[in-house]
Amino acid sequence: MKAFLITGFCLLVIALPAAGQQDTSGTNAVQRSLLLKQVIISPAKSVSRSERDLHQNHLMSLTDKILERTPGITMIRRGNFAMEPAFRSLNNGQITLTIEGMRIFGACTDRMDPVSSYIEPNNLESIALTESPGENANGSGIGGGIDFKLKQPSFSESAKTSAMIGSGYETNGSAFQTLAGINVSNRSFALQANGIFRRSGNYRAANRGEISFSQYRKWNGSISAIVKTGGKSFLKGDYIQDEGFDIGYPALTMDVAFAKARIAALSYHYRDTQRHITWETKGYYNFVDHAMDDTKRPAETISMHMDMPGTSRTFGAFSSLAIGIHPKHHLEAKLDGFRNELSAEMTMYPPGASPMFMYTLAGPVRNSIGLSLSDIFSINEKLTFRPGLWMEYMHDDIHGKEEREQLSGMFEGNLAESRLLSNINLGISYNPTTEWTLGASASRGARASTLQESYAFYIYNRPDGYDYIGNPSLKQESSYNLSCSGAYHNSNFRAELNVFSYFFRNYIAGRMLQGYSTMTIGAMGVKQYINLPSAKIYGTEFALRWAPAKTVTLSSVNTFTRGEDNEGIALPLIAPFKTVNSIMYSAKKTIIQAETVTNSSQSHVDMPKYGETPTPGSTVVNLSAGRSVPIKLAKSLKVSVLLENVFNRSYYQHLDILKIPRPGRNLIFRTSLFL
Amino acid sequence: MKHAIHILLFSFLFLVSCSKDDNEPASPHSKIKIAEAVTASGISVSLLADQNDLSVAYNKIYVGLKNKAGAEIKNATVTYTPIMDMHTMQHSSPVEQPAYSSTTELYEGAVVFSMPSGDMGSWQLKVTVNNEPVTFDVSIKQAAANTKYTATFKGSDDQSYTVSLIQPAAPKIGMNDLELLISKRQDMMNFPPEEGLTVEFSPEMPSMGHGSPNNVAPIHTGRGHYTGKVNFTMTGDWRLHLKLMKGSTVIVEDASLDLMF
Ligand SMILES: [Cu+2]
Ligand SMILES: [Cu+2]
Repeated sequence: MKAFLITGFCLLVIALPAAGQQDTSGTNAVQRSLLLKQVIISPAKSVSRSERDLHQNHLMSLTDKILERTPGITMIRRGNFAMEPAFRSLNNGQITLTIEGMRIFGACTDRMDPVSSYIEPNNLESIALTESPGENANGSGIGGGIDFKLKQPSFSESAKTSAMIGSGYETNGSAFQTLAGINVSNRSFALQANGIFRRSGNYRAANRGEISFSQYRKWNGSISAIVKTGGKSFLKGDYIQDEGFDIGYPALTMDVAFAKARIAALSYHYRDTQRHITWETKGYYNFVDHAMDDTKRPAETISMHMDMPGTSRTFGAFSSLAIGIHPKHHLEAKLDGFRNELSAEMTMYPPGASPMFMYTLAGPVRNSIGLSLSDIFSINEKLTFRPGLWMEYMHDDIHGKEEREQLSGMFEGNLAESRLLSNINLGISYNPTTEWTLGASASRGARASTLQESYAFYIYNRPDGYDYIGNPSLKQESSYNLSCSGAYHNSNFRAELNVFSYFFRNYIAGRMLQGYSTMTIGAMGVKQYINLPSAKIYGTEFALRWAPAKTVTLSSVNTFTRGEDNEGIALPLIAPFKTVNSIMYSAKKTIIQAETVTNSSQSHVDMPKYGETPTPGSTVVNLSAGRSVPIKLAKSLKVSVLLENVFNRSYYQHLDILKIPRPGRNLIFRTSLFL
Repeated sequence: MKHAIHILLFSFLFLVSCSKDDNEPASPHSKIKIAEAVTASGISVSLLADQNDLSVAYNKIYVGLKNKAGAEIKNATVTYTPIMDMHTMQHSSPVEQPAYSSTTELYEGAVVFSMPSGDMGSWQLKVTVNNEPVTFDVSIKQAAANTKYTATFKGSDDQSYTVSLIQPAAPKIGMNDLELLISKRQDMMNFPPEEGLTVEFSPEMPSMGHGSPNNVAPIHTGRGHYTGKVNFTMTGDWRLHLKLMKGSTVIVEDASLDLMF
């Protein structure tokens, strides 16, 4: 028994990818979970028709909005577009953001372009969350990761073609979206293509009028094709291109002229359903191109015109093998490698003097190779173990002679850094009866500093107003995580509770550097990333769902996190208590929902060390209704109306940089036609 | 492995570039000849510099000597005397007297031209070879706008100090070697090197008002040369602020030189 346990543990895990594999085949505990883990965006089958209708009309909303509704996720907001997801208040390098297992990194030094800004709901099948580091097969981190799972075309017995078109309009900001998609499939080939265009003017906040520089414009196109190469195998190609233009960031000093991403992948899939083997090998490449723009800002707010372009290029490959040894024993292994090259620069144009150029990220390059092993096995009907391990070897260096020379003035010694990271997890779940599930997990997470944290060269951080300098010799940030969960469900009621804690060592934070002069005009000073000896984040998530009648569902999702550093000082960017309560009526063709989103006030903040001020609480009420209308010559026409911020409240949330008010009342119309 | 490839690649490039050099006429240096003259006894004197133009700055100046038979003269005594004729008066400027270098086969020295040629006056450089003088008319260009590679400051001891930038000659972003020549005016014709000053140093970008970290204040390394380090965090215009001290007495509070790249 003991030997078995140890072997199991040594074999590593990845609960989620494993779970993800199973999802496609139907039901799974993960998918049924209320809290976290898997957010279905474009359900292939399953679920009720009206629920699917609801989802389908969500394709026009921003990925940001879907993430924001996901329990555990809070969004760091810098504008009306491209918000940055945080999971249990862990963000940036602490979680990994991947697209179908592919690593991709934003190109903006001001974090204007999180990965989630380059994908659209109509690219996505689901969003998968992993909460434990060892469970995450996609990279190392403190808090697992978010994997955006792309929509898959599928083969069909007979030749099939389907298509959809849709469009939406929002009164606030005169936002407009239009999208179209097509699916073609037969027995050996399937293709799917989707495109969306969206545009928004400046939005209005309740009593604060128009918020200048909150506009955006973008398009996204994706194509995915599969070709059968054998009875059990197929080849898959994916390509996504996303281009945003003229994107305003009211909380920052600059806007974005363009933000472009190209994401391409080719993969080979082998599936033997009889022997329960799934094997996927993928090669991928992505390129992100970003340019900031201050030319549209009023002259008096610009002390000096500057250009700040940046690029991020990643190539990688992985091979993952999942084997269901036995219905109660599921093994997965993955070998994963990538290379990421970043470059960002700044050129300032002083009047009457020569232009001033520097790299803000002087050619840092990260090479990584990782191995993941995970196992899920049930000892009996009641007890399941999920051990997982992720090991990663990482090497960072600086590419380019000029780039090295520039950094020679800032950092002493060798600029290169190698690290071995290990993430380990053990999860246990216990089902004493069919109604109850109890779970516990212990894990050890570790992450390398991001390339920005290692090599930033006077990168301005708007929240605290400091210029940041990197630190190539940062130690890896690590944490011991403990969590417990309990869930109860019967035929019409479900309750879930999670309690979690992260105990950090070598927590990465900024510390003021004395005697350094600022690069950014108006900055308060210069900080450098350092390791704090310790920090902790803890919190809870609690969710209820009750269906008093067949057509009525009440739900409540509540999250709370709190963070402190080694001196007991409040950590920055920690969301306060948040509760989302909703009532949904869903009949055969109609769905109506009312929801309240409440954030309590956040006064556990620190000004001197982290530059944060308290945030008042807020409550917003949203209504939505959708209906499927039968029409001639088409499968269906779906119409929905949403009224957001019904009472036109002026509000902002704690993670809203500079506390720019959020949109006031917004009436949204959406229609889509399925052919 | 990667390093091995790099080394291979570099050695290959090195070989290619070397063999290319071999094909060109042998010249141990890459200096530019700016003038030529013959002494009374028939020694031909070539005047060379690093650039086409001499300018208001510390200028390296080289001399090549050949006898009538065209053979290199390696053991002459050569001195430079720069003279500015300002109509009503004449003055010289700081000089580093040349010495023969067997690698370049030239006599290598330097002259700090303290003002441009023009209506104010004209420069001559007198080169004396074994007591035989030849005089070259040299045209000294104004330094580029927003730059100041040499400047003279009145000290609190009533003496005039000339500070000239030797390094960085080709500034780049990052850490650069800093080398200054500090000379004192003894009289209008003599500007000996000033040794043993203490120099405090900080760079600044005047158009933004910021400085840079990790600079090393120059210290005296001989013959009035002071070497340190300067960190340029970006391209653009930089001002080097210098405080000159003799012991704890401040001689010049804010001597500054400007450069741009
Ligand atoms: Cu940006
Ligand atoms: Cu500057």
